[in-house]
Amino acid sequence: MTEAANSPALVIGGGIAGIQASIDLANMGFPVYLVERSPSIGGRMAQLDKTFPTNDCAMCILAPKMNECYRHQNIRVLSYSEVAEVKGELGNFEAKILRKPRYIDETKCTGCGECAQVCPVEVKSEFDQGMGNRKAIYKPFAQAIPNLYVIDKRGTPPCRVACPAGVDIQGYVALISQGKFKEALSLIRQKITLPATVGRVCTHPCETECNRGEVDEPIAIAALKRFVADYELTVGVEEVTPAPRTKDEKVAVIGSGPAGLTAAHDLVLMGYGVTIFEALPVPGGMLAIGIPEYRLPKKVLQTEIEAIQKLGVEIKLNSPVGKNGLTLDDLRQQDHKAIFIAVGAHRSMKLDIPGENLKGVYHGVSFLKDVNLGKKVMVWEKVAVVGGGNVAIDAARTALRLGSREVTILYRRSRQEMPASQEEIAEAEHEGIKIHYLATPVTILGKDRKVVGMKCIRMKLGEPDASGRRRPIPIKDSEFTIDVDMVIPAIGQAPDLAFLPENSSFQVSPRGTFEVDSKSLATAIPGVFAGGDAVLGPASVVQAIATGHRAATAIDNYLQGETLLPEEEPLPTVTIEDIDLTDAEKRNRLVMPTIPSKERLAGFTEVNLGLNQEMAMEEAKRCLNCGVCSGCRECEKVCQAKAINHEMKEEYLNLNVGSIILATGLDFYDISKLGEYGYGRIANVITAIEYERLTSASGPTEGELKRPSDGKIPSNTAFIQCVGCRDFKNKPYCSSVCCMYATKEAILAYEHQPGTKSTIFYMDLRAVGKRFQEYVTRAKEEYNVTYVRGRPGRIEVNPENGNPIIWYEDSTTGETKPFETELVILSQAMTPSGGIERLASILGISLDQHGFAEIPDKLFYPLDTTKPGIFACGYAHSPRDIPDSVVQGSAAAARVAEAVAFRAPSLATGGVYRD
Amino acid sequence: MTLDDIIKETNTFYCLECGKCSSICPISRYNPAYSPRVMVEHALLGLEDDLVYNRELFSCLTCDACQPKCPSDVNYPLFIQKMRAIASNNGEHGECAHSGTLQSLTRLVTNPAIKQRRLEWLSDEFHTSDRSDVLFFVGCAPYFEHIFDFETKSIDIIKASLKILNYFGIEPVLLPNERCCGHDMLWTGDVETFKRLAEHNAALISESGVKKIIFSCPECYQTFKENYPNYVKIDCELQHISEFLSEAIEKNEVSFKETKRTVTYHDPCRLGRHMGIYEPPRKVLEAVPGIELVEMKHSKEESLCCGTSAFTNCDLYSKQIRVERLLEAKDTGAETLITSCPKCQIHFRCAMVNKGEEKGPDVEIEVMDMVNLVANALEEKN
Amino acid sequence: MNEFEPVIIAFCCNWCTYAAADIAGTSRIQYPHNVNIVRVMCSGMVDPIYVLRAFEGGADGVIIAGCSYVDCHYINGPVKCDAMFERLKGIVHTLGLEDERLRREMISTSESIVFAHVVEEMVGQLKKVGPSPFRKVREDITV
Repeated sequence: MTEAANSPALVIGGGIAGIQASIDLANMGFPVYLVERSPSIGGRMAQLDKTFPTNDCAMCILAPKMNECYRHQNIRVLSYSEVAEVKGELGNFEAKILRKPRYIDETKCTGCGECAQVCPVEVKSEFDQGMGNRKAIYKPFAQAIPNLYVIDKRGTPPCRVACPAGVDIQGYVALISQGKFKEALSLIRQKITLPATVGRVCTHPCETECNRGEVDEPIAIAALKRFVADYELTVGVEEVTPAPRTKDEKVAVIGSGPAGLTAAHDLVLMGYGVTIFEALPVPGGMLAIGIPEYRLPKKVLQTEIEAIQKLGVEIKLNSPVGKNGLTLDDLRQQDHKAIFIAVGAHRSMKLDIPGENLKGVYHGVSFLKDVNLGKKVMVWEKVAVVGGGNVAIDAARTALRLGSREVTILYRRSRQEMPASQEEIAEAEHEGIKIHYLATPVTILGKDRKVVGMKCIRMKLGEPDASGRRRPIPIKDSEFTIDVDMVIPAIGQAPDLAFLPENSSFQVSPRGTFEVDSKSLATAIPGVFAGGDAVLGPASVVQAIATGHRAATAIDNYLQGETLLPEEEPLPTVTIEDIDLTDAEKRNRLVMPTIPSKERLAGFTEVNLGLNQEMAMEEAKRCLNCGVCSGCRECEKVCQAKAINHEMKEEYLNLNVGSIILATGLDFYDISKLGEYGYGRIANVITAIEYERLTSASGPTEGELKRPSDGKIPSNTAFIQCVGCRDFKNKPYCSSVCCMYATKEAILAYEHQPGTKSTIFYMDLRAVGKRFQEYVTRAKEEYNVTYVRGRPGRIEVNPENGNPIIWYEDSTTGETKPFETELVILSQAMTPSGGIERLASILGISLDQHGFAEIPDKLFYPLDTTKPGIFACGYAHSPRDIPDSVVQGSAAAARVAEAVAFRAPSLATGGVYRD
Repeated sequence: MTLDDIIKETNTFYCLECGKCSSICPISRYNPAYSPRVMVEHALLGLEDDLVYNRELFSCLTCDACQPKCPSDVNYPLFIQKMRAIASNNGEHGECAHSGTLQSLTRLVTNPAIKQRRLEWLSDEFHTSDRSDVLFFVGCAPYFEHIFDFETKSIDIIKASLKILNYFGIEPVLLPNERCCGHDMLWTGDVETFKRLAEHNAALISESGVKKIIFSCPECYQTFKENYPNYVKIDCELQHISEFLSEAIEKNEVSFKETKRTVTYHDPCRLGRHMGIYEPPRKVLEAVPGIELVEMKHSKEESLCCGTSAFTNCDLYSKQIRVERLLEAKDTGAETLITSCPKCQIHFRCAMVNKGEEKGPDVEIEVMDMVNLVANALEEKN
Repeated sequence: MNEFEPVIIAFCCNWCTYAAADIAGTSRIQYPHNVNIVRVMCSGMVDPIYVLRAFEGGADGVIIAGCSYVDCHYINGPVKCDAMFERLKGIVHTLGLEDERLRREMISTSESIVFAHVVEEMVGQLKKVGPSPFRKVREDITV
């Protein structure tokens, strides 16, 4: 998008120099663009409490300027924007500006702040230099101009990327941390229709990817999901009203497992008529008949399925499709315009070894089904379960509870390759089940047609096979026999496709699963879709749920005759390197309370007891908020101006300008690597800018100079000058403002608490401006400030009270002495703004070795950079204070007026000379 | 060299008199008469006599705590070294500890005609050879055993180093008439003696035909690597044994027995700040299973010196510095203090002997060289 | 003829050995002139540095002589001397000097003949062993 050009200047940087340059040019009558990369103009001056030498409140004198700048007819402020590309030359620059998405409509937002109140995510505030927090939706400071909020989206958190169903995990965890359980549950329900169930049985791939795992342990995401679902039951479930039937079409769903239930739930909410045909006498699929009661109580599942039924989904039990007048054709005859096959994978794989037909061989899937359906199932004393998945573990733990004395699991690979979840394996071992790794059965031995033992062979691991796991190879002559009465094979499942008509056109994979289109889940037959284990093979509940959602969308599109929209590109995944871990202390993950050990095997009572509120909130607080904005949408709910738009995208703006003014300001040198000062190690050693935030009335401590370790207001402070500057090994130049601002800050300490003694350890006292020396003299005479010449080299800490102890040399006596104080403030070196190198290469200008703009002719054209038409002013030019930056801002405006606005663009080499 | 030459060579001219050096200096903390800044100030003011005849000129530990932090990059240790050469020419040698026995010994071995008996501690347990490519430089350990009235365990370091080298199939050359490397002479200004020692050693090494020299003493290592090239030619690869071991560990050439012990590591000034070798000894320690390494409050570049250098000006301040370091070691809760320098070990042991002080602080802690721990933990390879 | 005449430095304790040497002189007992006596108050005060400096200066041999264990005016001087001598022997041995060059004796006041005999014996040994390798190591050392 191109705006009308003919602007003489693009000002980069909305600090005081940039603001001044813009206003001067605008007052001359020229239109100006001002680009500022943070959400508000104001720059560093906005962060200061007072300014020297007048001790004016910084914001009080800055805000009118900010306003004037923003409201000036001739100035267009492009906040939260960056310069992406610049081409051209003096008089004719083409600049491409990136407008970063605020996710908030600038024309609608009133800056009221209701959104920030409800946002559950808190991160460190950049404006407060990390001394305070802000929300994910925020205004950098109260007087921000423009007066707009902005949403900080760092990227997609890895948990969400890992979740097959794309649950907004960071969102619900953040809501739980704030005690907003109802909202959390509502957010979960957008993607998971069975939260209490899934919270109990999910394989939680999210936890494996959780970035917190790199600090200590992953967040207990599944347990938190269970907590909010269970919580709802305790406070009372809201009545579910049937969904309005807005569409004529009917859809048939075959199978009431998680895939079928999810698709049905989505479709009924879309307004369709939905009927689920379930072959078994109970709904739920593997959730009901595969997972044992002690992991997932039937009552919990039942309640959640009932809620779906109350929406209007009809579930016909005992209605297998494929026989008795209920074929796929029949369904179509009955006017079901679309069919979703979600029959699961209930056919257990055979061992294919001799003895499989003996009495006492009971396949795991059937065994669990019979137990879960309430049939009386007999178990023998010594049971061997063959297999390494959750079915094997479930069967083993169930056999124990039914009375078997000795239960063993045989798995042909090693523990690392076992597909069962780690928790399940641990629980099984805890309950006394022995696991034989690298063993597989060869023959089931029988006597009188009954199992009496099993001959097995030891395996070793060879090269990886197609699944990437190492192939087990039998070790010759390593057979051994075990003494068992019952064998439960649980080596895998496949869908039972016997219900399909002969010569159907369905495409079936070698594994026995449906082949479908990956995006729409459509089978070869139009109108028939498939999902869940029937397509994936034995997979997880959450994967099945994901297919349920996908199928519902695809079916809806099919029925409305629309094409499936391409999927949105998600924001890049956030890795641990993107996160500031300085305050992340190692804490332990919660431990799920369980019923006492002896009660476990006595019956089928649910083993995991679940969390209470305190545990849940504590655990949720461990979340690192990787994506910052969690996408929970609570802000949207309260914004009365309807200004929030989470789908906003970045935009580009093309400008045509005659010149560019570089006014990008300063940044702070990282002094944590200067170990002698203890910054980062000693709590009461802070930097000067952090001090400004503490004394600011609008800062994190509301203007009370509370020191970090204990909040005490110091009656004794020490300032150390030239930290990291005037130093050959760090920054050899002088930062220009520190001598004066340290004096100012020392005066402020006295004003905050009269009598406070401040000591400034200095090299030289650079008080060169108007009335600066008088200011220093006043500090000494009236504000109890003492100046000591010398650079301290070592700061220790007094462990009893947290007081820093500075070792310095008294230059009058040559003695090295310790000096105990209550707060140390380091005047750290300042550098040109971060990212200046990249900007310089975009602009095509040179920088000096410290990153300041290179100025070829310092005497007569002191603002001209190496590229004609680009002028530098303020700290980007060289270290200077506020008044000098303002002077340079005006100078840059004059330069632009001279070189561009008033004359034809030609190289600025001079005026018209008299002969 | 004149005072002006020294000022130029050591960057002293850039000194801003900020005093940061004094506030970091371990001696300055305890000895009110010592201030690096004042020393430099005197030099810049041309007050040569105030430096040359100042007892404190010889108090500097040359530990190099100051230079990395000096904003003007003044090479203070070199400044001291060169000033001491001028002082030595004027008959000033500092206060030699142990009545000057060490210094006398070092001068004695410059004699070309001596035939020392340095290797009588060698037994069949250790394999050496005359025709190896590798030489192990023994240093003054054979003398240390006889000079001090407490056990220095210096020969144990040599024996452990040999055991380690033998483990890798190396049977190094040991020079029977090796001379002291001369480190102390150079750093206390006796350049003439240093030169003679260097010349002797260079001749012996050249004669032996070796291509690589391994050191267990950081002072010998530094002197050979940094100072010898200005006086003699040694055409060999030089390595400290911690570097040698660290390389071997990286190539998986060594296996260790489980050794359960918490240790803390003291960076010797010569190995650490002077030569920049901080990681190899730590890598070696952490490669031994069961070893838990806890760092002291001041470690690596911020490490505190053991308190005495070149056996000169060893006084009550040196003792205070040592006690501070030993208390830091004890504070970590470690069972053993590991170091990589025989001199540091001697000084620590001296502090523990606690002569003359009835109620000094308890600074007892087991001290051991890194090679001792490693030698005991070596496990036979299959 | 310039026969090699060894130079011996003898550190003799004031109370016993020095007196013995004195009496040897007044009794006109003949003993070689090669010995230079340094009087110390007690053999216990002899520090290795004295001996090393003696060798630095080019001495061919050194004697440390003092009272016996029961005679010492300072009670335990000889004990201290013994401890020091053990270490000193080690240093001197490691330096490569022959055992004959360093000698410890306990000679009481009345044993002037022993003193003469010791000196004579040592001179004889040193003549066989030869001059110290440290002769002329440093021209600038004055002992």
